[in-house]
Amino acid sequence: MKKTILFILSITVACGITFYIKKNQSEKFVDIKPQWKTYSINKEEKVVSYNTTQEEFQQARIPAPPDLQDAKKDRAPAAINKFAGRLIREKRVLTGDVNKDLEDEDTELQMHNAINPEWKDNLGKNLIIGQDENTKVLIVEQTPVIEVRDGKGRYMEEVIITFLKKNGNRSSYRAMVDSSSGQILDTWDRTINEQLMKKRGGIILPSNMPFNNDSGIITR
Amino acid sequence: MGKFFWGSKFIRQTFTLSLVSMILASCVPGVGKNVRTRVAASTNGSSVVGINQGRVLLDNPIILSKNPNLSASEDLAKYLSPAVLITTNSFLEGNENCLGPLHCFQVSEVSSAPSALQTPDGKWGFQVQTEEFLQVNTFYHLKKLFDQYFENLNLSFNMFKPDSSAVEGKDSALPSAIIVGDKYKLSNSILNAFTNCDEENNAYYEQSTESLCFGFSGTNKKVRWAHDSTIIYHEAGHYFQKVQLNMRNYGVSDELKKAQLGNHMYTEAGSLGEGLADFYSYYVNGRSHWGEWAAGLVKSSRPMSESDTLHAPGISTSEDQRLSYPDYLTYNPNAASIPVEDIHMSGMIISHYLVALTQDIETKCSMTNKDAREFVMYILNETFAELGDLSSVGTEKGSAGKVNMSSALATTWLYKNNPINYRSFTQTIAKNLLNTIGNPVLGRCNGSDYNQDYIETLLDSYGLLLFKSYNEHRNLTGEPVSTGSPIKRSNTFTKAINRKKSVLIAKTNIMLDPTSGASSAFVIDGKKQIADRLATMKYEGFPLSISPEHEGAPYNNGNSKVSPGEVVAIALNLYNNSNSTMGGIEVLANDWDHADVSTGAPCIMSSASNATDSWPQAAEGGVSGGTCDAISETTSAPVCFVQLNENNSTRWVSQREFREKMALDTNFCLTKTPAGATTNNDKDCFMKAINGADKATFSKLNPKSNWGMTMANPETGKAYSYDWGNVVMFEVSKHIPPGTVFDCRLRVRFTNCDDCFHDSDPTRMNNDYHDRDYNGHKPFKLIHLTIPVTD
Repeated sequence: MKKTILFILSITVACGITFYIKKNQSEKFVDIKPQWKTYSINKEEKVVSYNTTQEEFQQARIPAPPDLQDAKKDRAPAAINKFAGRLIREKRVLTGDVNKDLEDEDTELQMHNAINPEWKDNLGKNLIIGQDENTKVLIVEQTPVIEVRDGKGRYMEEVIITFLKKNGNRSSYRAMVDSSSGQILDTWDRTINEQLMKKRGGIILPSNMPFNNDSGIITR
Repeated sequence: MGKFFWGSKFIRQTFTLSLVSMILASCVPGVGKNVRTRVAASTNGSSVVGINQGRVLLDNPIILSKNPNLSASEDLAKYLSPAVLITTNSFLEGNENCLGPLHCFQVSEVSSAPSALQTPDGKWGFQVQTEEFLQVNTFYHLKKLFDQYFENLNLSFNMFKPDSSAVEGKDSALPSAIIVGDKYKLSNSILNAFTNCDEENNAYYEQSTESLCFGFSGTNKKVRWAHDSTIIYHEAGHYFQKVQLNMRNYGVSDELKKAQLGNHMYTEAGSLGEGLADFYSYYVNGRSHWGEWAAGLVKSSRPMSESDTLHAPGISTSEDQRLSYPDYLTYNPNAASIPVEDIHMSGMIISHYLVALTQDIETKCSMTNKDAREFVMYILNETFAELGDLSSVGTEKGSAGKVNMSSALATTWLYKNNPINYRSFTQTIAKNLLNTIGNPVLGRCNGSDYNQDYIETLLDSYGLLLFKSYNEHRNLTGEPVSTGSPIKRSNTFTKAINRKKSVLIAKTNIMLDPTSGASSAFVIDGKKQIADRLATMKYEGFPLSISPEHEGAPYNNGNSKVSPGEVVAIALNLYNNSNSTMGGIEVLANDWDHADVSTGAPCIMSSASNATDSWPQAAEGGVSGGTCDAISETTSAPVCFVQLNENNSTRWVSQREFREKMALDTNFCLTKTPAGATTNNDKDCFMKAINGADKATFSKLNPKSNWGMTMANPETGKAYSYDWGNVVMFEVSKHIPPGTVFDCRLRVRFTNCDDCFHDSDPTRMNNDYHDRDYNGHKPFKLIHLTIPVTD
């Protein structure tokens, strides 16, 4: 009888520990649903968006995500937990002036902004406006972030942005974006091109230097 | 029984073996079904190579053929190596030293390929004209570089770097935390190399997706960049620079962001990046020329030693004929008489210096050339790791704030206020040489030391002895060596006698063109031109911040004046009034600490505080004392103030005060105040330098010359026009009344400037300025633009 009780107790404790660990893990999971989206301007000069197509992935030289790769089914890429060891709050990576306490969502953290579900579309529209006809902007989420500075937090989104021009030119970079406005706050990882024989002097001026003009600017 | 048992055992063993075989076989992807599988061709196919082997171009075709005029249509099969080991893997996936990914890199033809190239029969022999050959060739050279670099890391961490007893200032920047067993935490991603990219005269490293892409030369799509090993090393060199620059940025709270060298415009950081990428080619093959085949066919290959025959007459390895800074910043060996502002050309000074350093160490320390190359690569590991540290700690025994100001402000300092340039880079190299091979106690130079004179003499021969101290302690200079200690951290100083060729120029010598009749500033405000530029800035990844109503520059009128509602670019006609060449000129229009914190009134920068503007007078709204007396890294004001005309006086005031006097609602400001915000975003309500275009850079200014004279083609007497990197851009509110006058106080400096980096204050004794000072006026020449807004 005693053994039975001990057995049941042990099983209960083991289950409890397992449940706690699983629950804790699920709470600390970074909620990331990367979805490549393309933004362009249609003939009516309106911004349109849709899920990025296989053809666009090829043009942008981006390996397509698994659901668009028929031939890749044989070989799934190795999973890399890039968030291992990071502090997580609200399923977002904490950056900046952070400490372990902030992982506890009961610890108060004042926020500068709120998450706007339209942030990605705002970003896409902002980037595509002013571009040449047939230019496309491809955007994908990378990491949802809370950056903490001077005791206050800001929701941000790390994204990859890729531009495709009609003539085949392309450019790509990473950006940190405000989760409310979709405004780019910082960029890095810009593409490095060799581009031999590049043309110089992009600014058209009415006369050669030294300049003569009547801008009215006085300098000291 | 025994017989039955034997039979049962046999069946069990057979079954087990079959099962194991099936399981193992299932781990190997099916060959026949894979679309990447193709039967190897005959001349370099299965019949001529063994298992895991292939034939490759061990160097580029020009070198292998020993024919500098090799035709682009030459059959490259003639120059294939004997069979060499490619990989024992089934796919072109290489190097297992990266922590995280299963392998560090992989090679495929295009990004849409379902996987890295797979061997059809365990062999890697393909005809030289095939896409498969290009992939095998690229893999071979990438693997060679990766293997060598990881061996170097092993040496760097276990042999070269100062041991754990070294004190701060003499310690290492290499973070032991990135090593786990025999693996290194350097990247979260696998590097993909694509060999068939439809890119004319181009190859690129796409950092955002970690991929290399190799194009073709000229209009001949058969001349492929992946046939040239030096190009492969150069592109991969950019990848390794990112690795080196961000070594200290893993495992820190801001690890998502990464440091990088330069941007799309001309910058010295970008120049260093290109020169160092060339050096990676020398690092692997020991040969001091880059791109003879792929770039050489379009007359764009680059030497890395003054002994190269491509160089113009007058350049040699003699001390006084080196490719020295800043005179050779615009030198193109393929068209020596025509100056060009291009990071690939200006980067040659650092590649030449590093090759010369390698050879000097080889000679003076009786090392092999290979050992000297490995040691120089270690020095680069140290240098990059320290300069790219976004956590601001810098070295293993450093503390927050030692480099790049602070973790919150690191990117602003790294890209705007105090970026990596020829001076800071070579100063850090020199410090790392001095701490290791230059330390006589360690005896690492054949039992002796590569002493301070050697370090300084070689740098000086390149015009690069631009620093007076080795700045070992950076922002910690002058602090106690330990808590409560009376001994302060002090830096080693360079020897003035060693500065023979390097010229330091006083900042007063940079000015606006004083020539009679020459304009000092030019306004570019054409609607299409500005709209196109704004679009390009988004395309290139500048963190553009512009009001929605100014998208497309709808109010621009193209009258070359500043008008309400316009987005304008302003080019300064800078002039070098000294008798020596200036290099690395930067014009900063970003916010800085030059206004009173409470009132926003302009601080008077008096001559006593080492500035020259003494603007504005107190009667004109200038203030002194209070927050104007000290520089804070967190306080900054826009560069432009506004002239306010009142009944009896005219004052220069902040844009906030001007708005309040106008009683303009903050919703009409250039920067909108978010709902619920406790403070208004009206500090740059009317005129705002555009983030991403708030800094202009010029490669050099010849003595007594402006940029147009410096860059003039001697045959035509004309320079090509300004590029977008040469201008700063402003956004002007449409609500500003015509007739309003702005004064924008810009900051200017240059790399070989004496008083832009050395603090001559008696308490600082020519040590470098603290990072905080770069948010103020002292390290800069102040230049004013007084801009009338006209309709």
